[in-house]
Amino acid sequence: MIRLENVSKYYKSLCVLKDISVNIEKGNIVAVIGPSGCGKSTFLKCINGLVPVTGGKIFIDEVEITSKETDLNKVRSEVGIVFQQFNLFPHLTVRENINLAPVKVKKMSKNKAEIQAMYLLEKVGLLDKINKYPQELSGGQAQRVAIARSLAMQPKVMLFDEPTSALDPQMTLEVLDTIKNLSEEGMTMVVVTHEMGFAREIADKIIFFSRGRIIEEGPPCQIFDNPVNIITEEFIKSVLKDRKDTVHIQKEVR
Amino acid sequence: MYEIDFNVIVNALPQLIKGIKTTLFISLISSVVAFLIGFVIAFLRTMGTASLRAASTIYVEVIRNTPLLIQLYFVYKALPGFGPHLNPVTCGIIALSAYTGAYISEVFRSGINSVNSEQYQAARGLGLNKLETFNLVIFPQAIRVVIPPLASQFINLVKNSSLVSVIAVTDLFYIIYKGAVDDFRFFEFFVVGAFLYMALTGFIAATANTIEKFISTIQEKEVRI
Repeated sequence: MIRLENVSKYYKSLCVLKDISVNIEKGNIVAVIGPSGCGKSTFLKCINGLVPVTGGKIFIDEVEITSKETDLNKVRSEVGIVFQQFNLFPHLTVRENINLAPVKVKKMSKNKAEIQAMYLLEKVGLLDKINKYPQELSGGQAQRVAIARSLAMQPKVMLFDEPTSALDPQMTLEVLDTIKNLSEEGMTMVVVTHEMGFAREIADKIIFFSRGRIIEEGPPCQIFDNPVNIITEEFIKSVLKDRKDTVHIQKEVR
Repeated sequence: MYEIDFNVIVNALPQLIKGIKTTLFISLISSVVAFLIGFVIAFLRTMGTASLRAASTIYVEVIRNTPLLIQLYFVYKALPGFGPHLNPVTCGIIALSAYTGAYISEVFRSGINSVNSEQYQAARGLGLNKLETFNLVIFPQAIRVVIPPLASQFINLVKNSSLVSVIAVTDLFYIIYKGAVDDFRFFEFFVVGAFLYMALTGFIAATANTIEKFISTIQEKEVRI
């Protein structure tokens, strides 16, 4: 579904991604973990062309999106992205936020878009907020609306860029629940996250990044319990120590 | 001692009204065109390709750094050598629009820069193209914060329109000056002229205040929890 071949990204002489090759199967959920500033977000934004790559090739459904002939707007409309800071449009209501792209890009009829918006809001549990402005929502609610907004384009893939990093533990849970529900529907997802418990629970594959390189990738049991690489091992150890609280809360809820 | 006599104004009233009409006409058309120029240039400078960015930057800098009077004469006297002859009013509108448009584009640009850059990424991430992103997401947020400086530009436009009198347009200033010289009544005509310009620009300032209040009530509604 998604294939990266020797992708690299430089900002001037600063190397952010170095020789990244990954293959993500349809319906798979991939969690990307690693220390801050290691290129995880850039990696994600390269996948839908928001950040142009310096070298290498990226394929989505065998279409090379790094080629100049590809219509990137079309690619982006098929690859949803959810940001850390939600990035809802503050001058539009929840309804307008969700309907904007389907109506303008997909030329969906207003009626159809409206029905879809209600269906999606129901799904994320926020149908009563349809006429509110983003500023009237809590962080968790805003992030769920942002997820609904992305889903409104009926994407083949969903990318999440640290979707819970700006939220408190309670709101984190609401958002993680929403993402978990999506995963059960078979959506292909790439999630950059610091929530190790969550990554372990939902991911089919974990990719561990450090300094712009993929250090190790494999199923959660490998990365968390028997990491091959010493850097991975140290990172997992340090994070699990720091994140004890969140993991603890998650276990309680389950 | 000079004796003030405002009767001369009463006699010149029909002429003054004609002048006001011309000034209003030129200002209104130029405002609309300048707004559009400002919009396009702001779009090109913030989202255009490198060459379009460069071209629009050159436009803004050339216009901002040359006197409006030179631009007026250039359109009126120099351009006809290369193309069709335009009437003075059209020349005035072209020069005023181009001049104010450059300033308005800078006003818009400051508003656009105040919009969080992630809004751009979010819109593009949904598949909107650059123009849709600009039109539907960035610009509506930018214009809210630039209403006061934008109003200043329109006020300046009305006042700057008095310069078209030098290319033989019978606008308000032309009538005032002619009246003053003909009747040798500088005090009366210039005092009344100043008040008339103030009345025209005061209308713009009042409209801008109303729009600003209107927007702030919407925003209050938006932030109410």
